[in-house]
This record gives sequence, structure tokens and C-alpha cells, in this order.
Amino acid sequence: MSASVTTWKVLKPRKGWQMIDFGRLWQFRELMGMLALRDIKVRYKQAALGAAWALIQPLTMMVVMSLFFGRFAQMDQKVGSVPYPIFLYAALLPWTFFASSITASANSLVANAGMLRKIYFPRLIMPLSATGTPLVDYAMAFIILLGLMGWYGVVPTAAFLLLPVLVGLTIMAALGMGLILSAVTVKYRDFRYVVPFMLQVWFFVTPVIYPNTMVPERWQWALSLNPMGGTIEAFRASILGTPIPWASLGISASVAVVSLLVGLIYFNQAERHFADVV
Amino acid sequence: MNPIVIDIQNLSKKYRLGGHFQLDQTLPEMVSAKTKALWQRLCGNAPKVQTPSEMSKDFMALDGVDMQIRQGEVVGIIGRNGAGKSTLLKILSQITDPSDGQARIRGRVASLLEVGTGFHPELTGRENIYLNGSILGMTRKEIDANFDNIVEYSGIEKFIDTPVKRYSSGMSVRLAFSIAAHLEPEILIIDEVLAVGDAAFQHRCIGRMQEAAGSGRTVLFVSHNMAAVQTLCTRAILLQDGKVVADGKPDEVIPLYLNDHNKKTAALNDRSDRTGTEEARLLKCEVTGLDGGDIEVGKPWQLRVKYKTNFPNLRHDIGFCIAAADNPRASFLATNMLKEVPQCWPAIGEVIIESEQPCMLWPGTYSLDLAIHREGRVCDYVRDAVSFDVSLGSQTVFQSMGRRPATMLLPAEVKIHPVNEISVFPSLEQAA
Repeated sequence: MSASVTTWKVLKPRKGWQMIDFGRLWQFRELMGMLALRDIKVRYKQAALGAAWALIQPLTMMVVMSLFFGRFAQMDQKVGSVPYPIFLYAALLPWTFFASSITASANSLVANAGMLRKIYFPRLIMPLSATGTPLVDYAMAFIILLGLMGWYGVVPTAAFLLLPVLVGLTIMAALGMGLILSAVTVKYRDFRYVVPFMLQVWFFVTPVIYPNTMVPERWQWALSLNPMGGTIEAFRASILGTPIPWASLGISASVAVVSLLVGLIYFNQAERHFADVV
Repeated sequence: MNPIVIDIQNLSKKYRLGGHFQLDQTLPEMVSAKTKALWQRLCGNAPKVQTPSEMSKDFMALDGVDMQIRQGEVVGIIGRNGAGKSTLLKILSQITDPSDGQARIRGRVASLLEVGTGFHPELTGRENIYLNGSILGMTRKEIDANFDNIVEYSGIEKFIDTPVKRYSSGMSVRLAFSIAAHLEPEILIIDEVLAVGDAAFQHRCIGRMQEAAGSGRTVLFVSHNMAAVQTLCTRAILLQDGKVVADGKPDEVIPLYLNDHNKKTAALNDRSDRTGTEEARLLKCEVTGLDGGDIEVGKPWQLRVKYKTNFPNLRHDIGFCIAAADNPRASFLATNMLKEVPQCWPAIGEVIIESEQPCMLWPGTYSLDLAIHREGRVCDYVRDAVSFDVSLGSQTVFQSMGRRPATMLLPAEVKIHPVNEISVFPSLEQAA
């Protein structure tokens, strides 16, 4: 038994900057899968409608928002020839995924404090696995989008192929924020209240319910600094087959990549104190 | 000699007391202090030496610990609460980083401290086996291979597809334990498992430890139960204020932990690991034979307890519990169960409890948890107040038994009467 084990595992203070140990992360991929699976399984347990909620929620939001923003607030006249419900939903879908990923990963460490205090595992797998449930919900809610496209006769174009890239960018942006927030929440629980509030504000500065053309032209560049700004516009464009706003997508994508890097580095620094302060 | 599997050098762990804010600082003061520190750091003349007030905020949970543990050793880590035992285990299981020094480990580490960690009440037993198994570090393949054994060992086959929230607490502990018991680590870490669960559960834990030790695994065992350390461990390490103060055979180290072991007397006044309302305080206790000598099987014995109380001339009660290695509740007595207890207790006094019956504990080492009560409240409680040996005395008959069959002996008399064979079955006789 012991003959096969020859390598020493050295435990000593980690000082200064550390490389992220991706090899270690890979070793724990099964645990990451199990944790994601746990969250998905638990989500609709003892709910009579079960997984149908993953469809009911976005559908209801879409109907209510189309009615109030689109019809009553007359937003539907500002989006050109596109039916407002599909205009709205093509952005609401990635936004909801973004917002719920951030919420889930920001809470993941505090919600699993017991495990953090008692068991060793690369802490990174907690916020990573927390994005599993939002991702499944995202896939479910995508079915509604396909339904809407059929209803309004929107034919998918080649731009559809861009969608996986956009999903990837959304995950990167959400993880970047989620990693920072989860690490800060371990130390300062204030951030449990900051996150929902922050996301509400964020929702309004992201062109979800309105087209970005509504914003004065000289400020439009600022919208793309929001990592979700250009991404959501591009998502909408690839669904509707309109020209893809490459410039703002490029800016948003860079911001998303940078935020992921910052998140990873910060998390990796803060990780060593989690068990002591959580 | 077996190879070294754990090599610890100068290991230290420092905790900052009082959280991230200093409580005696107002917010402006804190901001100015932080700004000053930042400024000094930027200018490159950071103060290297901490001021005394800053140092007093630090607490050394471990302070320069060195030890080498060889494969197959069963090491008991003992010490008072706060001595650093759990911190040591936390560092070894990689939950927290040391602040200084290093530990090197060879082999897979698993810890029974994690029993049931990560159980999700909404999931079924089956789902929790997979979840908990991977949390403890088993691969899916290993869980698949062991699944039937785990279920069988836990004895909850019928409920395996029921959500764990519908389990009794005993059932979920059994399931959790049987998952942990199917880990196959090279190094097994056990932290005070004997403090939780019922007697049967504790019995299993001990059995599991013995099994692990027998199969050449290295076991680190933290406990306050000296009797268990004595029985199970091949080596004991005594920690005190984060330092190793003794390391050797359990027989040599345990007496250092227990004050004045040979006299079976323990001073309790200075013990910090106590709980209670502090209306009264246990000062000293002593367990001896009635003649003041060793406790022997079959002989009467006594317990003397010195106390002081803030409520003199009122009735108090003394309760104690005797723990054996494999049975933390081997025997129990509270004076409120007795008929004649003095109603008027002096401010400082000595209670003498004499057992009416001869000592019926099987020969071995026992420890005693002691409490003083008043009006149903526990005023002062000291776990593992004193340890004592019950010796054979002249009762050599016990030597032939080898392993201890039980904790308590039952006193009984044996008589024989001749019996008329037919009258043994009166009903048969009538039927005929």
C-alpha cells in the first residue's frame, strides 16, 4: 500500500503570489460535478411542478415585461420591426443566467461553510460548481426562445453559431464577479445584501429592456465597458439575424476576460484564509 | 523500522484574536492606523517589530511543533482544550495553512472528523453516499465498488431511497460513518469521535480504529478519553499551549497529562476546560479504595471532592460518570438519586462519597467526569477530572479472561437444587 506512495506532500505557509494549481483542480473534477449535481437535484425537490419552474419563471417574466415595458411604456415602437417579446427575451435569457450565476457563486462559500471548515479541496470548485444550476436553467429557458422564434417566424441564420462563444463569455464575466464576491463574502457578510442590489442596478445599465440606441450616442461606448453590454447585444443580434456589433462585443469580451483573470488571482490569494474566517 | 509518513518541523499557527477589527478602536482611528501602515509600506519602511499591544492580539495555537510519525503507528494526541490538538489536525488535513514551519505527509489522509459533512437532507441515502463519498475523496469507481458494502454496513437497506431528512439521527450517523469507514486512507485522522453518537456508534469507531491499525495504517487520534488512548494507541504525544511537552509510550505520557496520576488525586481549581454557571467550583478530587489505597475489584471504594460555593448552607449535589475506553458512560452516580444527602453544605467543604457496593468495574484504566449541581443547574463540570486504575488485587481469576468481556461485573450468587425430572415440565405432565 505504502510502497506505491513515494511523493511527499508539503504543507507550509503560502506566501506571496501563487500559481493557480489547475492540475489539482482537475483531480477534483468529480467532486465539482457531484456538487453541481447536488444543487441541480435539490433545486426543485418537493416542488409539485418540479423542473417546470425553469420554464414558468422566464416565461412569466417575459410576458409581464413585454406587457409593461413593451406595450404600456411603448418601448415596442423603439425597437424597429422586431416583435418586442423576442427582442426582450433574447437579452433577458443571457442576463438571467449572468445574474443567477453571480448570486449562486457569490453565496457558494458561505453556504458551504461546514465543508470549508472540515474538508480539504481546492476552494475554487465551490463557485465553479455553483454555476451548474444556472447553466441548466439557461438551457431549459432556451427552449422558450426557440418557441418564440417559431411563433414570430424568425429564421436562425449562420450567426447562431456565435451563441456558444457568447455563452462562454457570459460564464467568464459571471465567474469573474462571482469569484471576487464569494471571497469577499467569506470575510464581510455585508456583501450578501450588496449582491442583489448591485444586480438590480446592473440590470438597468445593461440594454435588456431597451435598445442601446436609446442611450445618447456619445455614451454608448460606456455601455460596452459593462462586460454584459456588448455580449447581450451580440446575443440578441445573432438570434434576430441583425448585424453583429463587433466593436462593442470586442470591448465587453476583453472586460470579461480581464474580470475573470482578476477574479481568479484575487480568489487564489484570499483562499488560504477561508477556513480561518468563514 | 517502518518509514516516516508524517514529518513535522517547527510547525506554528498564529491566530489573531478579536477578528479583523480591533474592538477598542473607533472607525476613524482604524482608518488612520490603516492609512499610516499603508503609507509606511509604500515608503518601504514598514515596522518589522510589532508593538507589544499588537503582539498581545496574537494567539499561538501551535508554537514550533516537531514530530515524526512512522507508518503503522497509532498516535494519541492529548492535551487540554486549546492546547492545539485540533489545529494540528486541521493543518495535517490541509484545511488551513500553518503560519510557520512545515509538515510533510506521505499518503492519502482521511479524517473521521468529517463524518456526515456535506450530507444534504433533501437527497436520498443513495445520493448522499455518492455525494459524501466524493467529498471525502473517493472516486466514483471506488464508491460504485463499495456501494453494497456501505449500505450493508450501515444497516439501512430499506431506506436507501428515502430522503435523509426523514432518517432518525442515529440512522444518518450510521450511514455517514459507514461511508467514512470504507475510505482506505494510508493515514486516518480521528478527532473526538468518541464524544458524539451512542455507545454502539462509539464501539464501531473504536473497532474501526483497531482494524485500521491492524492493517498497517497510521492513525492519529485526538481524545480526552485517556482510557481509550491507553488501550488503542502505541504512542502518545502531549500538547500544552501549542507545544509538544511529552512524547512516548501512552503509559508514560498519560500520567503527565493527568495531575498526579498515581495518587488518583487531581487538582481541579486551575483547569480552564470547565463549563457551568460558576455558582460553585470543584477544587480537587480523589478516587481511592476505602482504606485510601488502590482501587481493587471487589473492594469498596470512595470519591472525595473538595468544592467551594457562593451559596453556603444550601443543598448541592455531586454527579459523576465513569468512562471506560470503549464506553464513555460506563457508570454513573448523582447524589440526588440517593436517599440521605446533607441539606446544608458549607461554603468550602469536602464531600465524601462511599460506595456501598464493592467495586464492580473490570480491571483497567477509567476516567471520571465530575459535576456539582444546584437546583437542577450544573454549577461546574469538569470532563475527565481524574483517571484511575482498577487493579486485580487478589482476584487472579480475571487474568484467565484475557480480553475484557464487559465494563461491569454483575454480583451474583450461585446455588444448586436437585430437581425431580418430571416436574420440570408440569404442563406436559398435565397434558399426558
